[in-house]
Amino acid sequence: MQADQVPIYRKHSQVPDDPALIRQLQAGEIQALGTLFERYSAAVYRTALAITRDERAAEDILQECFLRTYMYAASIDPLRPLRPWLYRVTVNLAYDDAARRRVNPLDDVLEWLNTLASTFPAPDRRVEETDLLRLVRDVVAELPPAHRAVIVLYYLENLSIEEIAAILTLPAGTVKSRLHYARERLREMLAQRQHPVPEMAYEFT
Amino acid sequence: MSSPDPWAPADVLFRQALAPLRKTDAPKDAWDRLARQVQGAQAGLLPPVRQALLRRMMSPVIRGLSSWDGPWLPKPRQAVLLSMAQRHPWRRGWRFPALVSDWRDAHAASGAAVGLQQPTLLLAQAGVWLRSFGSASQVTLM
Repeated sequence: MQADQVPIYRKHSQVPDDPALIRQLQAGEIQALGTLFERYSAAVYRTALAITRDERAAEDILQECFLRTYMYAASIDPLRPLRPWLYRVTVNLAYDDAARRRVNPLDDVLEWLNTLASTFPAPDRRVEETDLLRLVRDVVAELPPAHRAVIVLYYLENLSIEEIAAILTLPAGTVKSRLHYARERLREMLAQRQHPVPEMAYEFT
Repeated sequence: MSSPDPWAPADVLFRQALAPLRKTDAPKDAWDRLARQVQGAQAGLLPPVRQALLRRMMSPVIRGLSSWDGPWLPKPRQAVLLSMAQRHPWRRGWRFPALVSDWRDAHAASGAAVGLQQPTLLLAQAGVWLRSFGSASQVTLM
């Protein structure tokens, strides 16, 4: 094989289940990582994207998540579901990303670069959206990362409160309170802007 | 009969607002990049450094340096930055270790130890420096 060639690890002829793939990975069969990547990369990427709101950060988190799956395969219990483990790694990496931005001492450079980024919106951001959904996304965007993670796992990944509590190692009551906070925030923003959706205003009162 | 969930409309809105993300798939080249990372890890060569933030910082600085015709930084910083600018034009998949590698190559003759932070800080300084000589818009257009 050429030195610069990248091996294609994926594509099993049969598709094993997660426990079998984890055992294969633990035994050093790298192609198992490719199958797991095919299976879960979209969920990991969109979760990271929804929390970080940054495509490049989400790409890095996706890569780091599966690299950790490879590096720490020996410590993964094949008998436990892999998906929650991947969500936990993804969310923690997203938190790390947020913390790095917060503590970076070069704020002036970052602010400048953020200005550049907003000057050239990605094509998919130009898609027409209703004002209402844009407002909801604003609510999600302004939440602290720890709250946003709950919203993303609940509304985007359709996980239950108990599942989210297990992934984030939080009491279920904390997950509920973060959901409640986001809903309250949405209600406030709708009220502030006197959004013309009468049935919503009625339901929220 | 139980009363309706007062938050049901909010739940619907949150789900609708996030729904477009469900169609989002991982970038097409993501697997290839991961495979390279795994190869590096297998060989014990590549630390799992992921630096989205640094890339975001460095990309416009490097682009700015590529075509800057104003006064320059003192040598040898100028030479190192120019080398980075010429060899690493902005593209997706650009990785921080490549920058560190360049930095080490540039300093190989002096035998100086090089840490990860040094090129980061220098490029950040270069960004501030570029702005001090020219307008941000001038750099933006490059």
